[in-house]
Amino acid sequence: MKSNIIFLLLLLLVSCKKDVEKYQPKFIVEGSIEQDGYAFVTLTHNLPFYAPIDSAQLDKVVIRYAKVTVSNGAETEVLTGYYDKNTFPYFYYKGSSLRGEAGKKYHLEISYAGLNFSADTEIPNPVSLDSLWFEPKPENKAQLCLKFTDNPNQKNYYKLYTKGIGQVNYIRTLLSNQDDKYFNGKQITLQVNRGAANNTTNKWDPYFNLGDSVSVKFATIPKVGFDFWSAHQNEIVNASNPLMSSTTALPGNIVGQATGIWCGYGTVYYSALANPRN
Amino acid sequence: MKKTLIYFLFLFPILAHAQQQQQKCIRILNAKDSIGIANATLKYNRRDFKTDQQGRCCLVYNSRGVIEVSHTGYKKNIINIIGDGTDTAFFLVPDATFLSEISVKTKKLRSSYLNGLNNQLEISKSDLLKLPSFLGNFDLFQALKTLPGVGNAGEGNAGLYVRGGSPGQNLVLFNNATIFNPTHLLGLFSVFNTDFVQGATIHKSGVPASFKGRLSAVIDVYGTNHINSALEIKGAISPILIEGAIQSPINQNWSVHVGGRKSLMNQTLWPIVNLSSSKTKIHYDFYDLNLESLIKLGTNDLKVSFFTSADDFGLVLNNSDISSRLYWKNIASSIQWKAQINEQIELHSTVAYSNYNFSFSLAQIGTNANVKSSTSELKIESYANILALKNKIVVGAVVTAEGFTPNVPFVKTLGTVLDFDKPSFYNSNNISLFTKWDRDITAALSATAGIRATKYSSGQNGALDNNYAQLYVEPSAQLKYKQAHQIAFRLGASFNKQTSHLVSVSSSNFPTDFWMPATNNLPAGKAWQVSLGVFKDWKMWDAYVDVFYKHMSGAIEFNGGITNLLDNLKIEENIFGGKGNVGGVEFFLRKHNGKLQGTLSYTLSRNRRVFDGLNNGKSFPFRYDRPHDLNLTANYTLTKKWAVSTLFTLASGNAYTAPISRYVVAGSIINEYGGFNNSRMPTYHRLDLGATYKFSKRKHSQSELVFSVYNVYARQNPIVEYHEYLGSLSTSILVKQKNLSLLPILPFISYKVNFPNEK
Repeated sequence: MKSNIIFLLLLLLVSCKKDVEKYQPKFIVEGSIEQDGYAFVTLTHNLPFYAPIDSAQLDKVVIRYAKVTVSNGAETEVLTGYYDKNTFPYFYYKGSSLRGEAGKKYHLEISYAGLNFSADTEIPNPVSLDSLWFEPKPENKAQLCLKFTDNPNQKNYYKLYTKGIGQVNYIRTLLSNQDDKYFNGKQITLQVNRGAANNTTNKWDPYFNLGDSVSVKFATIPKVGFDFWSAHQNEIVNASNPLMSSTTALPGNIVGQATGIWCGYGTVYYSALANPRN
Repeated sequence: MKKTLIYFLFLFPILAHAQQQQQKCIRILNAKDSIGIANATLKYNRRDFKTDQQGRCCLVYNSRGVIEVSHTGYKKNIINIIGDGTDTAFFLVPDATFLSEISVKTKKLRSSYLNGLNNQLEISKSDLLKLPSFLGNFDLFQALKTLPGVGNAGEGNAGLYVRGGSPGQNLVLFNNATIFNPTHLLGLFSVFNTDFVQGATIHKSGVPASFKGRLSAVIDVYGTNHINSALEIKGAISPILIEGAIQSPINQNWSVHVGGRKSLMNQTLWPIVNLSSSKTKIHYDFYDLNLESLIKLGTNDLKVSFFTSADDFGLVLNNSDISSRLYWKNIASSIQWKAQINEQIELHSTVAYSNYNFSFSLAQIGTNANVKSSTSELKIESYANILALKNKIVVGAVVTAEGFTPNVPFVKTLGTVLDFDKPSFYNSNNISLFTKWDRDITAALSATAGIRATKYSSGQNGALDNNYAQLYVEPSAQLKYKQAHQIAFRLGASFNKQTSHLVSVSSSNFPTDFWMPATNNLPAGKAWQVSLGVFKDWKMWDAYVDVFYKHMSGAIEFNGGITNLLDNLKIEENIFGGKGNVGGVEFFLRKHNGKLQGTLSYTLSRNRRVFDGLNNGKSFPFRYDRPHDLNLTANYTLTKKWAVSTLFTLASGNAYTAPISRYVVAGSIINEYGGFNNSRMPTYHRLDLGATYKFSKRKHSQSELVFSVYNVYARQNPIVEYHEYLGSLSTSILVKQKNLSLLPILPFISYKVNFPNEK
């Protein structure tokens, strides 16, 4: 009897031991095709959670020998691999003949080590801004404001980027993704706060310096892109949030043993000087 | 199972007629003020009986005999029964040596184990005062958490997780009015002002049929039930809180008790905190107000109670001019009327109104966004307590009408008002009939059985096409066997339905959570529970072991964060339902007498959920699954002036979903998460100390200093673990593990003064 009880207690203790989940290798695809632009695709690998994040490790996760093909149904292009040590991933695949066109569909095909990944996207019709201007802020700063009119007969998702002095790439703004369901057919004004370049920097300023030259990229994206980038934003903002932490996988559109996004962008570019009107 | 219960109910009346003996009802009153003495012991024929809250007790007797009446704090009295004598009220003289505030009630808790037939735990005001205070506040919820089966949810979470349930599965009543959000200070402590709490009864299983169905527990908090004979003024001040109360008789049959608490943090704490940070500015204050009045009209008691509380929390982020504000407010008011129709029948009627409002707003110059939720309830209830020979019968009816406006968003950006459609408004009605029998079957065996039938209906925006009508039956039964040597066994089973859901937006018990009624898309929750307990009483000690198993279905999870709050057009689509299984053993040991008193409670339990939409439909541990939960409390009266107390608590860490790998998207490091709630936070443990120094009694006042140290050894109990990245992907990234814990060691002092005007 006594030994039975001890056995039961032991069983309870053993059953309380947590099971440590194993790392499973996975590929990550990040691909875009802009209106009037060429396809741009990167292929990387995930890192085990406790692996250090240094150049040696990061070097291992960049996939360099994949065959990446993009087609619009009529025309097919195999993308060329490029190496650029100043960016991550150091290796990317880029097109040079097949240009993106608004309203057209694009198919992505990746083969690597006997594995195949594929995805489909569309470039939505771009929407132009009605106007953009700057509002004065303390300490010689200026906030970007913009206005555009949503098409009442079309479902639209928008994504907004800015580029200031000294920045090489366009950076998504703080609330970069917008769904027209709340302002369908209306003219809407946005006060834009700049976003941080990524979550590995603590440099962040929501405003521009007075007089800066500012570039704005305003894009329309398909629903899958909106869902993916909203989840991406949520993960960055809420991964450390004690009350509502983010715990879900990013909802991408890659078919095969990979995660990620292949997204078309209907883009319009603007540039202006950060000078408030008065 | 259900069938057995029904047979059992039918058997009851037959058993009731099997015996023919005389019954006598007696009231035991305080000789000083003629107020009924609750929980006095009546010993007759070697059996113990207890008086109720009003000092009443009914027992079946032969024609002659002696009843011995006793109560700690009073001198013993012997009643001689001669024939069917007409004297029904007897007096006890207070024993001066026991008149200190704490010792009067020491036996109260004890009595509930062996003599109360109901599966309930009592906590009285004096029990609260025996624990170390938290920021000068003797908190009811803190005391409840020391009981077995009531889970400690970790730092900064006042929510009660009873036997594996969540806070939204508890019904919290204050003077019989529902309180929808019983917490202050973002959930750090409860809204109950100890001055207005006489005690609380917590039903963890076998909830009596007279209470509205909830899947987890009923916490029935009640205020004073007697008319104060003398004016009494109380006050307390601490660096963050000021409070005061006045209790006054208007005449012999009417008294009024008014009081309130208001935090002073906007004057004392936040200016200092805000000085040290240029990035953020915080303001946070809260208050609560209580009013209760008792009127005695012959054999009628009328009690009017009004309670309101509000919290206002603001945060300004200086570098982006963003200001946010959380505001929430509770109202709970009731009129309770008790009529003694005759010796056998007592009629209780209540009209209660409750309301809860919440708003969250965010503003940057030119842009305003807010989310509002509200819930209100009107309840009309009436029931009779009938004593018929060996039966105690409760029969009653209750109607509640509830209104819900969950999560209404509003966004205006530079003149454009965003379109969120018309807000959804829901209403629901519950019409219930209930009955409950208590009966002694033999001298050792007694039983309770209850049943509640509810006609439930709900609709949206007043439209009938969305109508949802259901009939629910909730049975409960308990058997109790009392052996010699003060050992008792109790077997209980119950089935409950819950017709409103608390949709938890966050993973904590947070004011952003909002209530929704059961609808076609969001059916009512169901739970059944069985428990078997052994209870033992000694002279100085008592103990129990209770084994329970609970199965729930229709438990809910909200699939979204605060960013999804605005996206409320179809809340139901973001909520998914699932099942839960909880099993455990509760151990409790208490020393209830002497200079040193204390409790030790330990709960071993498992709490798992199955949701189709989570973890690929596989079973996962509930976030607040507590394999181990241990609480140790002790208090020691050193001298007449000094008393010290301590609380040690230890519990398994929260289950959470941990990342298993990382990848890079758009230059940012993204986590890939493993199985739902697959990891554990570190074990939670904490030690608190308290001390009270009573100054010598002055002519008109009695004052004391209350000292407390929260988290004595400054344990950092993390509420979240996360990683911060710093560096560049072109070179290397420094990964820093961060643990966010809220409360460091908090020494505290507060001064209380009491002006009793003794006539």
